[in-house]
Amino acid sequence: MEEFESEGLTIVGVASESESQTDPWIKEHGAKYAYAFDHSKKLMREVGARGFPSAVVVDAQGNIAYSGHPASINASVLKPLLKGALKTPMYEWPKSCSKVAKALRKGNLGDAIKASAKIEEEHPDIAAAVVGMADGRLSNMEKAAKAGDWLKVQTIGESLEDAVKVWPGGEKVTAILAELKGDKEAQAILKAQEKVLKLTSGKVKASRYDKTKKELQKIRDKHKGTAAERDARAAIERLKASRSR
Amino acid sequence: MTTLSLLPVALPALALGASLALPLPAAGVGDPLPTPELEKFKQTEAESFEDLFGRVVIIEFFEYW
Repeated sequence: MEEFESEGLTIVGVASESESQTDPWIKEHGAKYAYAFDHSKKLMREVGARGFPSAVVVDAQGNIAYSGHPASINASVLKPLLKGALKTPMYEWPKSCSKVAKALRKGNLGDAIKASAKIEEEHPDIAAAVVGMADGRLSNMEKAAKAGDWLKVQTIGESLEDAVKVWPGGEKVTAILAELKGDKEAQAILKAQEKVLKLTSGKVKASRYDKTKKELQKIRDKHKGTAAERDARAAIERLKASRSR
Repeated sequence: MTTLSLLPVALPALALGASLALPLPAAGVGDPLPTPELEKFKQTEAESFEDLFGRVVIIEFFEYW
């Protein structure tokens, strides 16, 4: 695996235990790769990882390309992903790219695109990666629109808000969001998806379990064949699973 | 059938005032990675996940035992 590091691969171990338990283990096993801590196991839950060891592979545009046992990650999984990956990690970028780095660390894709235009001639790979990130999100947005997943369309659109005016793909983002705004059926599905999210984000009081379940069933039955039905079904399963723990 | 046999098995979990924490829908293959909030990077010059921008990243969850 290490042979791919110069081609754009980084391996990061994520531990949930304390430093005092983890650091000696790392040293004892001679592990040389980077590692970091997620004590609440938040990322593990967010990617649906169960048990240890488990792994996800994230592509150069920030999307999950693989999720499962790390033993199954091999050259055939990695090689296609490494095309276009940055060979130099951000902390080794030259000073001339510091504005791009600063914007990316702040999560401001618009500022990163503007700054990368100034270093494009000198560092075409970095400029391409920044624009590629925006292009990747647009591609996901288009797929979501095609699938009628309007909540995803809205969420991705919001994440591209600061980039819309400074990047060619911005026109397409604006067009998709305008389509969503003008489509009554899409708006109804979006509202239903938002309601599902509101009903099931955070904790559900035990006293409200039955009412919440009924509301989700109502959404499921009203929006058959749509992303709202899919979301409601999944939420009902999660609600049932949380009760049986 | 007695009233007792109708009581749901999960009754203790539904004591007045109790809350159920619902797991969030997990991100899967094809989805953007949820923003990692990782701390204390070691054996690297990276200080945050954002420092790995544009790279292919294998995130391996492990425990020390």
